[in-house]
Amino acid sequence: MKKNDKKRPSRRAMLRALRRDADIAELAHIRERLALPMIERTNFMYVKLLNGGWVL
Amino acid sequence: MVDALYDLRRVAAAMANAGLEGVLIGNAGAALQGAPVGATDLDFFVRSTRLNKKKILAVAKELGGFAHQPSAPLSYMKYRIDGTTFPIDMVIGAHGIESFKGLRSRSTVLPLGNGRLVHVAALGDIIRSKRAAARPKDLATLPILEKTLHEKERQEKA
Repeated sequence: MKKNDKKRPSRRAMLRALRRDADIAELAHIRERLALPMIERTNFMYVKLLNGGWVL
Repeated sequence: MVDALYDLRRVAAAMANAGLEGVLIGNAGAALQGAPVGATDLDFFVRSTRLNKKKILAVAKELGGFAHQPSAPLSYMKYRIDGTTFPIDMVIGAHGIESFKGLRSRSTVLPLGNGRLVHVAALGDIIRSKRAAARPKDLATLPILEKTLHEKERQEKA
């Protein structure tokens, strides 16, 4: 098999692609929040329950 | 995530009734400024005066909770109101925040309806305070806050 036929990307390339995807998703999330009027950004609380659990 | 609007209104009303001025800082403030982060409490920066201590007690009473100074290392810098839906910290000293007046002048006023409003600290001030505090939980959220501020500024310029 020739070297150029290699289809599987290297581990480093996969990690780079994953990081790039995560950055893109994060930026999309930021833009989504910024597009909302401030009054609609109030759904940010985690509430701790008396039994020690959390409402997310 | 739980919507904090109802409780924010209640807290704003109690603070207004007690005549207590405060600016929302911390992750709750950052979330209102558009950062995709969550919060477990509300942090209000208030002036450190003897009168404000009484006002904090009045706010706690109106909300059906109780105010105390936690025994954590930074206890002298805040009063905590517990017994409410979620804890409320009345911060009287925070790293990276030099004056209440300056913080408030840069804040955004958010009308909550029913004539209530809350002052939300500028994202730049929240970032400065978290960077100066440098606790692991502050440092963990810094990158996302900085990205949000960068995107916000980019959108304002465009």
